[in-house]
Amino acid sequence: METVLPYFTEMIPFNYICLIAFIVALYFHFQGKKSLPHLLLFLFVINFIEIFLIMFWIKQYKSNVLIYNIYSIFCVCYYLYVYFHHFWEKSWAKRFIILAIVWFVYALILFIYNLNELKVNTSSYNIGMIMVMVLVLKYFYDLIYVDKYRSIVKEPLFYFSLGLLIFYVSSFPLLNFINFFVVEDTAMLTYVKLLQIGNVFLALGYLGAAIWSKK
Amino acid sequence: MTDNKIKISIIEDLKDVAVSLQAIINTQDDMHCEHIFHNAEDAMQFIPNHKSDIIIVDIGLPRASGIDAINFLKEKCPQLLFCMFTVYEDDEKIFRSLQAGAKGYILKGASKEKILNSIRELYQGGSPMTPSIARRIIDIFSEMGLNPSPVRLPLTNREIELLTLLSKGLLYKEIGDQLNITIGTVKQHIHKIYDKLQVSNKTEAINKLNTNRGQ
Amino acid sequence: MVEKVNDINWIILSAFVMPIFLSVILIWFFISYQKKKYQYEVESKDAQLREQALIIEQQNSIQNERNRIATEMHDELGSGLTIIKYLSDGVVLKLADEHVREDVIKIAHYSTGLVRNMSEIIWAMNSRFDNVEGLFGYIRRYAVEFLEDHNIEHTFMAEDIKEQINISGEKRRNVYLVIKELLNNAVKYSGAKRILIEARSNPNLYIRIIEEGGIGFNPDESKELGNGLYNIQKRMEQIGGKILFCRKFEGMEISINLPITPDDSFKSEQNIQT
Repeated sequence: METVLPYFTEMIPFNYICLIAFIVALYFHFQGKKSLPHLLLFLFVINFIEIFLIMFWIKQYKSNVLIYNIYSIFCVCYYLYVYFHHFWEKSWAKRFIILAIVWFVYALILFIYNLNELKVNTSSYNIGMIMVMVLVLKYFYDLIYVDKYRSIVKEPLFYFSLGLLIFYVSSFPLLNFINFFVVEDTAMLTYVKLLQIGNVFLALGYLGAAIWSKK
Repeated sequence: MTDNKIKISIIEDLKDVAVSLQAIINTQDDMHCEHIFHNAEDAMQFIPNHKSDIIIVDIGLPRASGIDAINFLKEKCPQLLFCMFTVYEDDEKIFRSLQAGAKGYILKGASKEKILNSIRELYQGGSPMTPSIARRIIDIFSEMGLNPSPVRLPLTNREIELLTLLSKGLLYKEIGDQLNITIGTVKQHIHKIYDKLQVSNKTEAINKLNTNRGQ
Repeated sequence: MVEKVNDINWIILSAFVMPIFLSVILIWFFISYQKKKYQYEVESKDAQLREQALIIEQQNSIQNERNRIATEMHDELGSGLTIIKYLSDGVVLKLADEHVREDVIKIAHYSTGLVRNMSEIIWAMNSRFDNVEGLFGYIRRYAVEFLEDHNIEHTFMAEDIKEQINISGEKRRNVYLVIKELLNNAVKYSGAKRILIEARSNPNLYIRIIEEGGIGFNPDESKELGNGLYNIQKRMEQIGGKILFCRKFEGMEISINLPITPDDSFKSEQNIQT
């Protein structure tokens, strides 16, 4: 218990919301309701990583860049998976998957290449997230111009997409140029705080998706 | 001599009924029925060349209807009085016949006395009316009040009063008592109302024709 | 040093550009979504209205078809019954035997009665007559003629009806038949000397028959009236109305109370019974 407690005290709002999202998803899971594909699993993993693993890694190795790199690949993969699942029947989806696979290979290679360097792999993360953004924007576009009217209030994917969009757009500048600020610790703290605001929206997106489980 | 007798012709397709009616009429001194027709075409051919006072027209003739016969014969012999011969008192067709120019109706199921009295009344200028007919006439004339047409004979106050009482179901005797007139006078008022009804019907038809031509 | 300044410029630039980009997207999305939602609602309302109009049209055509069938049937029957009546009248004149003559007269009488019944059915079925004012008029005509024929002093008082009040064919017919039966009883069994009929329509349909003179009857005990009273009760129940018998010192007071509902004129013709 003593070893675990410090992890919980280090939690930031983003963690709390993610945790709540996980609990909610778990609750609905036992009621037989489902939301996004494998959302429960995803939430479990990110909660575990965010709350425990990253803190652990920091305590062990002083820097969590390595974890973040692989963790961000994991997140992007999940996002891509959710949207490919949504767009499964579309003709262009199959071709886009190929692109995603290419990206995945590239990201892995980059990860392994930068294994020993304390560098955030912004290029692979950016490209991955931009692909996700394309899918998110296509989702919104379809909602208005392609699909028939449907109510989005109870749609998990809507909240998920909204969270992703706000998160990525608001944190894009900071994430991209984070490498340039690694040197100055004080400035970094401020920017990390700003990043966290963006994260909150992401977590809210997760929560929104989890809440509106059905079937 | 048959000169002062009321000359009656019958247009009725039920042969037994026609013959019986003829027999009933011919028992009387003041009336005589010479001709029976079993369809409108025969009547339209024959009647213009042979003088009659009253034509009793069955409301349900085969092929050309009684109304066609009335329209045709009224033009050829304007002084003819038409009387519909009908099973039901509230028949829709009675009203349309009245609009076309009939001045009364006799129920096929009425007693001999009633039938003969109706014929005499008609000859003397009186007509019968049912409450539903009264209501329809009131409706038609009040509708016309809203869309004034060039030639429109408004009902006199007396006539409106009479129609209103009739529409409430008062008997001729009651109306006579209430308005201090005899039953005969009541029926003569009705006769005049039918005249106005026919005129307004004709002008409606002409107006419609004109508006159609105008287009 | 110069590199860093450039970087800061980039960051400031993107720090402004990104939120604007985001806001633009979100605003576009929500406006378009609301527009789409509004369009959808308008369309579905239209569809609903069209559906309703279609249903009404269907109901109308069903009603018209029913009316047409009924009218045809009644026309056919009417003609036939008329022939029966006329032939019977002719036969009566040729008969010497009094008893046989009486029977033939009954034949004629029944066939004329049938025509009258069918006329009443047509009246009940035709939605043109679906109003209270017409009902009162119809009852009045029957009642006054009936009571005149039996030489009974009578008064009919109907409240003046300002606006059209709708009432279904089924209710009209049942009320009319109940009144017919009550008047018949009054004349044949109660021996009433004077009959007063009062008809009102506010707030419920209310018709009261006051019989003066005569013995009246006890609705619970009467045997002769048995079937008739049973029918009356059933008819009133069927249309959701009540009937009250009130024995007076010399005579009877019978009142009918019937609530009218707004959708009455559309209620059917399906429920007309003979």
